[in-house]
Amino acid sequence: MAREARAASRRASRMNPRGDRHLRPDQKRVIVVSWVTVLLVTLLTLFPIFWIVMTSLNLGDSFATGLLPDHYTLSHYVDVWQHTDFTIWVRNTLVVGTITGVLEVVVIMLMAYAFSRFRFAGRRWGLALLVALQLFPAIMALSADYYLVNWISANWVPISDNWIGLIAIYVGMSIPFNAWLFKGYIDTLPYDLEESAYIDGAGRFVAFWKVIMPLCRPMMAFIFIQGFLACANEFLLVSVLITDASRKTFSMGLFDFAMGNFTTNWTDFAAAAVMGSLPWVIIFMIAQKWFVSGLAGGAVKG
Amino acid sequence: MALTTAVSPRPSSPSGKRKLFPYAWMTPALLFMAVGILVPLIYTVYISGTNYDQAHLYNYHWVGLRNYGYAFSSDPYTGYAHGYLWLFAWTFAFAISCTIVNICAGGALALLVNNPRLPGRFLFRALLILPWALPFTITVVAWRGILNTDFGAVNAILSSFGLGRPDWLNDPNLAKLCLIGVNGWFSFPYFMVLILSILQAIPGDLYEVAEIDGASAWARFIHITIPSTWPALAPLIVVQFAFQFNNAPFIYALTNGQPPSLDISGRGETDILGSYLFSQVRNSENFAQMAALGVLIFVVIIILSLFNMRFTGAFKETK
Repeated sequence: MAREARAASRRASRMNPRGDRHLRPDQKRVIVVSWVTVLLVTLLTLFPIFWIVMTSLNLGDSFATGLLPDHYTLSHYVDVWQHTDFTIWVRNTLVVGTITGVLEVVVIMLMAYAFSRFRFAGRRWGLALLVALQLFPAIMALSADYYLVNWISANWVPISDNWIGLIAIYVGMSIPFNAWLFKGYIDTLPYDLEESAYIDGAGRFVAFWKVIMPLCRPMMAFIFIQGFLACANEFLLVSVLITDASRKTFSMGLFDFAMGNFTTNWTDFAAAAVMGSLPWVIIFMIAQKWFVSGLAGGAVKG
Repeated sequence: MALTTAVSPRPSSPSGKRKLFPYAWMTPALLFMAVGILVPLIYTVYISGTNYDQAHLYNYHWVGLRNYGYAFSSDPYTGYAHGYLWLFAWTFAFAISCTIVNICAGGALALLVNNPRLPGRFLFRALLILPWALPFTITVVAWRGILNTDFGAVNAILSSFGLGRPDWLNDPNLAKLCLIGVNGWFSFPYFMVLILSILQAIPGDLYEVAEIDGASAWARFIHITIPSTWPALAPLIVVQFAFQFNNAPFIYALTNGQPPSLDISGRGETDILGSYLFSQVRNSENFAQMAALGVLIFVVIIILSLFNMRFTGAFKETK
């Protein structure tokens, strides 16, 4: 905050060395034009969200004829809670998302540390592979994923129609991009800190655990939240691997619900959307700080 | 790719018995990558060379490159092309337009809300981020409703002004425009936030000096803002292009590739390669042919990205 304020004041003095109250007419015009532009864009951006909320309050099962509901009701919220699998989807998503997020943080952090702090045979190739695999289209291997999971279940351990295969693929797919990002972040941490731990007699792992990991908290939060949200958002892979209704995750359940066999019940969908979005938006807003520093940290310094 | 050895953090090469140490750190991640990416990738390449389909589920055998030839041949009976060329063309057009629209929109808004004099800029920032903050599945389905021809909100507004009811998602050209537009709605907040943080890392002194030297706002933008943001922006452009090239979930969820085309391939007019592949795998039985198409997509994306990286200088390991 303080840094931003300083930057702001620096920028303010740059634009107008005499202080804030004496704006030149052309500067005033720029402010007015950009304010109106941003306002219009914001209204346009918020319109779909406003519209979902209004639809969720509309009596009946389709959209309001105007912009506001014809008759207000909260019955759709009760409906979704009582007569759909909404609570099951949320619970499933919490489980899958948390396991995926934690696994991602652990394996990615270890790999990133190795790439950042060791020099070993195959390191360059490993880094190049990470970059290449970032571009790997998940969709391309969909049928292969499906048959491999079924093959493993038939011949080895039963992992089809439960979350093991799904989580393993989610974690694997997230590694290339995030490991690259995380490595860029660890690269920026000074080596001196670890060095002083060595002098105190700590080994590699203790130094990592006590010195590096605490410094990586923003990045760990970023990877966890990103992994969690990606899980809750993904619906192609999950709809190929999971058929059991009691194991559906949030987005798959909601998508099937909205694209149901019969005509879409838009008002129930909207109510489910609002209920599902609220915790999501709250988490996102709290985590935004880490999101930005994580992405920008890796991007700027990677 | 120039991988320079870093100086300040002193990375070490373990010797002797500890040579295997770094690999131990990477083993968990490598295992997951093997399961999640490498094995499916290799398996896909393998079945792309077989006649694996619904009729040969268990007794498939090697047929060489036949499936790849199919992608570029035409139907022997009707003489129509298989429509893959159109698929490739629209996929490129979609990925390029989306990358340009998303980054320009995000960048323009970042510049606007970065102005310290803009009243309420923190409120704007918080509100503009919402499309990114909301779950994708929810909002994309909502957009389907908003653009619905008969009862969608857009047409409700247009028709109340007497502007008619365009068939947004069923007209091939309008549907393509909608896809790019809605994609912009989804993606600009991400770039706005990222570019904002990049902009705030530019030292303000640069602008002060330039202004004292009499540089116009435009000149400052061209000579300071662009060069300072470029190194951080370039990898984002590469990744964004690759991402949109494969953004099948988005296409599938918004239009499902519709409206249908008359091609023998069974593609929809708005299908990109990835969404076509997905619906084919789900609805038809040509697994091997789709695997071949998948490999083609991967090869194209790798070549383009290598070119992109050269051009933009992204992903160099620098200090």
